[in-house]
Amino acid sequence: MATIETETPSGRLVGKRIPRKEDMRLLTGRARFIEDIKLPGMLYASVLRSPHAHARIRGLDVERARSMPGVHAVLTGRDLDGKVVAWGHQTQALPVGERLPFAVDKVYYEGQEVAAVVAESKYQAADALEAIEVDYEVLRAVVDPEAAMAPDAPQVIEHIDYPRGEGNVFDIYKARIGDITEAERDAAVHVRGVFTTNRPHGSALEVHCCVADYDGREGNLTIYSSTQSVYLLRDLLAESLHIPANKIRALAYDIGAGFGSKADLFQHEVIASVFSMMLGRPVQLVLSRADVFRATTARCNQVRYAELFVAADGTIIGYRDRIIHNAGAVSMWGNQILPLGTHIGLAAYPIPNVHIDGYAVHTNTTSGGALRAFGVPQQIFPMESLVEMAANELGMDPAEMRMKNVPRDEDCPVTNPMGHCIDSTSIKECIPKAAEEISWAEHRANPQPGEGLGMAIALKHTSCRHPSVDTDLSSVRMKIETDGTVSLYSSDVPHGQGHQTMVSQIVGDIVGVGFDKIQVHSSDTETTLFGLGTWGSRGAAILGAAVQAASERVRERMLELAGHLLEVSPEDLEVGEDRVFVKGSPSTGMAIAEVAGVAGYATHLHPEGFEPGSLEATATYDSPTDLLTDESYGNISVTYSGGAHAARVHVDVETGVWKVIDYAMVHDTGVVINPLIVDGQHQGGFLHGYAMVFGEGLRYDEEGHMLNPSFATYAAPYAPDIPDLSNLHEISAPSRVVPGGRKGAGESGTAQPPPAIANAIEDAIGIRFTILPITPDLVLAALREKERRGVDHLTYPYDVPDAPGPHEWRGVDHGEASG
Amino acid sequence: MRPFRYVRPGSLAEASAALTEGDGEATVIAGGQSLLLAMKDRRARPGVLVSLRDVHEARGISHEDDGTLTLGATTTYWQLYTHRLDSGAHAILPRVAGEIADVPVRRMGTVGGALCQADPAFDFPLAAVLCDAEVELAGGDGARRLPAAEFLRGPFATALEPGEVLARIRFPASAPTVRSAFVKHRLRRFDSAIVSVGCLLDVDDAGQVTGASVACGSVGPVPVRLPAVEDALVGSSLEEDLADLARKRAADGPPEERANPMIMAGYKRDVLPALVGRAVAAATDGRE
Amino acid sequence: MEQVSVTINGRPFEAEVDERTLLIDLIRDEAGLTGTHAGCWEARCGCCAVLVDGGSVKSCNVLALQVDGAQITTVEGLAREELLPFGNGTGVAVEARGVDVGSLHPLQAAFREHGAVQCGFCTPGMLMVLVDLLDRNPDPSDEEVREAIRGNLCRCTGYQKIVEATLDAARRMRAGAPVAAASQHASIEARGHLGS
Repeated sequence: MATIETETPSGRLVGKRIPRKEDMRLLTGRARFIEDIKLPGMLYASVLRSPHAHARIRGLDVERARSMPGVHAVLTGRDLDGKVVAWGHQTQALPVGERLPFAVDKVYYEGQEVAAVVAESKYQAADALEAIEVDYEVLRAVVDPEAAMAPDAPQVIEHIDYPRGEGNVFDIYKARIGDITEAERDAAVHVRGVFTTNRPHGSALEVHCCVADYDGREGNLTIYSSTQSVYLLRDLLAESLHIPANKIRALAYDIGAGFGSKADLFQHEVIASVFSMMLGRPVQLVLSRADVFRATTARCNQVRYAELFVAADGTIIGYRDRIIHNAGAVSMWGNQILPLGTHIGLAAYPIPNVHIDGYAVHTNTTSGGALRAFGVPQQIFPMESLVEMAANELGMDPAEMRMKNVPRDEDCPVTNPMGHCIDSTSIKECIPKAAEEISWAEHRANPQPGEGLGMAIALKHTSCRHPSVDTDLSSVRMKIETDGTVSLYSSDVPHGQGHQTMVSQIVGDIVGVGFDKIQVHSSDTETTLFGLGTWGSRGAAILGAAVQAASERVRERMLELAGHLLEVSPEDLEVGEDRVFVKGSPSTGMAIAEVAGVAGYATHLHPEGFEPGSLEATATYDSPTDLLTDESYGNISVTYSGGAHAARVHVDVETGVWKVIDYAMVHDTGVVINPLIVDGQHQGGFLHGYAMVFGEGLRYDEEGHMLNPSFATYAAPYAPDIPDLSNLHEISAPSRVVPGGRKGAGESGTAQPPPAIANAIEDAIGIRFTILPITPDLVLAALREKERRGVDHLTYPYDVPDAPGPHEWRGVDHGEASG
Repeated sequence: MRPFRYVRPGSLAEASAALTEGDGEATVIAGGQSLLLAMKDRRARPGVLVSLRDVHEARGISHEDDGTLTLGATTTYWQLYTHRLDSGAHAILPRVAGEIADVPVRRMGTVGGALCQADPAFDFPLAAVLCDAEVELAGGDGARRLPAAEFLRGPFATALEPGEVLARIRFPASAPTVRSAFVKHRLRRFDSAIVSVGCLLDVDDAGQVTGASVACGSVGPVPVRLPAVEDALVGSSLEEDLADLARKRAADGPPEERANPMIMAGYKRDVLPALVGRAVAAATDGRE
Repeated sequence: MEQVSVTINGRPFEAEVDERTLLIDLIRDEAGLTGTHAGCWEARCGCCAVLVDGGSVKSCNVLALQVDGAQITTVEGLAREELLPFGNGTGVAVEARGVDVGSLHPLQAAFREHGAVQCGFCTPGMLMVLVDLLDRNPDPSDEEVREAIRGNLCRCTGYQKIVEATLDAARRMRAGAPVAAASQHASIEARGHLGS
């Protein structure tokens, strides 16, 4: 491990392993999360949620609750009907689902909001909820996304006329690149499988919660929320409540993580706001852990009928897929995940012929939404499984087959047939390095019983232009205060990524101000400029580019003034160690504090034409990216990070328990600002991918009741349950487009663990799992079935009729494919 | 949680009286690790909590002259885990305690609480059944003793009568020649068991198994002994492959499986023989 | 309502509370120490861990009444507190009021230097459980560290740096790094009443 900078860092900051500015408060209990906010006169709200997944509300009696001790108000869907505007269309370009603070006539999923109370204490609020009586007419529910497409399936959303869908299908996605029939004709090997992914939940440890504080003096609403975007929160809230945007202030201090699960407006934020406006009192609303599982968002699970066409030399020549994508009852970004995750997930190989039909469906389950890597893992699982299957059929080393197909950095920028413009990549170097790190060749040559090797690769977007939101914008406002310290206000909403640290590293290098003198302020719509928020691996590259531009502007202004004061040309000046000085003559110069002081306090010393005032600038960065065409062509990501993962896995054939005994991750993150942070992002990215194969995922019974709304049954891995992650390497290929060469880090290692481990399991026991998670009960059942049949190879669950999941091929039909 | 009164009796008699006064509304709280979870969800709604905190008679770990080990009902897993018990069957107890949840939960959770909760997935009830432990109940019509296997009536059900308090758990004397093993199978280390197996083997100097106790937990509604496995082991010799013998016998007549929607039906029964085999192997080797 | 008297980070604290008050509510709402976090309210994420008479417990699953009379240490009690409301005299901003890097508990310092913190929500609970571990076992293995936090969830870090930091902190403490914490006020042996 490289040296950790423990003292005040100096010299060039970018690239250094600097401890984070954020950590002192977080380590000492002095951080401020939402539940830590206690305002005078604050009341506590609590929400009554539907115990049914699909039901009509025939009657709702809140009278007894209203008169309970300490209760100030009660709200139901009827109270707000017609007063609050449904939201969701803004981020999905469709009137998706019915996102309102409460169900009005019908509930669509278990845990949906039915009524809420606000009281003096948490206990009183909870007591009052028990006094509310609801008369439900329970309806037949649909949970399985394929079942939702059946003509006789219960209709989840009944009164929205979707422009591109019918029945429970509310949106479609198509990819039409090249001619898939050519791939079919020319392929030496054609492999296929039905791949079903699961529904992991972000489960950030700070639950979704907010404090709304309405100030009647000027009619201003302040909302503190555990959110990933203060602007989405503010703008959607303004629209829903018919409040001018400049009357709402959305802000957050410290946020207990998100992973995509907090990148939207949520019902509890509207409910708390309405209560606060009704009562003129601050209102806190904190979800329980079970509420978070049942009523926020989870990864959209998919069923895929995926096919790969490969030439005799291992060149991938075609990919075909039919995707059924479960966006839940009330989609939140859900329909965006299908095109975006699928398109990006196909970036690693230039495939000339691609044919995909995808269907986004509603089911009576919790909202499908963003979760670490936004649909990419759902594509990489089938793709990297199929690559391994094809390599096996060809008798090729799967690592070699991957190397044969991936782009080379020396050819970059290179545009794939689907339009991904790969501006730089080291993926071709990552593959052999990952293999070498787990002694791939040696173990392949000398296989041990119960052990297997697997690999997976992915290229991953660095931020993205969503089809629905034609922007990829971050902004920053920056000033050098008159004492030489620096203040920054960014549109990003960091929640664990260490923005205060990495932004300070970029600023320090350009402006010359010491790391400790730079303050990145909390996310707050009152002080920052408009921008998206923090998700999709945006921070380092997109915000970083805006920070770089603002820093350069401020530096230019500072040098103009300093040059005048020092009587030298600004071009002859440089900065560092809190000083501006003449190049090659560090003693000839002045303190930045002095220049900044003159800028504000001594305007007669300014050069002619210099605009008086402090040294400040604003800057934005919007990536030069495309919108996808209807054929799914385009470059929607400004650059592509990526990585190769290799796994050695042991399977206990008596219990079905598999264990990763060696794991290597080799990544390309472009120019790394702070390896201490980036290592952690990769390790965290791994966790969410590993969780998909290990055991996470929301599960429902046939009536739509969630079986695991608790960490007791929702199998989030703890420390003993995951492998050592220290075998982590960076092979940097700096972006040729992003200023500073930076790429996103947080999600480029999330998609690989499921296929890498599934591939290793197949190598170990001859069973191809096409379902996630791969839990010991499934492994043992498959092993028993394989033994019973006396076969060398089994595909599970497809080959096993009484196992869960589809057992007949319902892929794209050939007639349709040629059309 | 619903509102409740909190009372702190100083003796078992007072605790029993408080329960009786509570008239069905009162519940004992020891460590509270299961009870409080249920109260927060409002699944449990006691009107009175009777704390055993000040009840000295229900505390402590003691060794009687005849070799009986007595655990006060409020003995925490942590106390059991850190207590020096390294001989005979009793040596299994710290190991069982050390596999439960994590240190913070073990510091609060009590052995009596685990028995009274009668959660089929809990490990301490398994240990009690495995070791032929007896429970001492106080209150009601006076004290009585009951084998642990009779005390545990079903999932979350015990033989406690209204007004009765679990006071102590008695583990009968055990020869120092008894070897033990405990195998807990679960997905995550923090989880309760998918299947757990305890094994005691008494082996004489000639390497002959003179006594065997094998029990499994978390499979059926209560922890159960596996008499077919025990019978096969007794009289066998360490020279034989006892693990294989046990595995085969366990496969012959596995206990009824309690449905768990999170686990595929049949898995517990399928995996049980291997775990029985491992427990026997570990006991035979004198290792975990 | 019932009276509860405890010691928190070496200072006596008394409050009259609703019987339903959990230990975490006593610490956060009554004593105003918000460093202890609730992530699940079911003793399964570990964010709420504190020391009670020197031993870690999950404060979301303990009634305040159950620990009446106990000595409680929270994350706020780990670092030596030096009130420096006007900065530390070097012209450098004080990052968190009242503490500076030099006053951190060795475990906190190691977490910082190894990058073991991301969102930081789980961090206080991790620290308290690991302080408990290092008190009992000054030279733990990688596996023992992972076992110690087997009931503490972290969704950000993949645990790797938490484990590495703990091993490094153990090395420093064995080498004599000072622990000037309120955690020392409480004796690890004085936990008899927890049996209730």
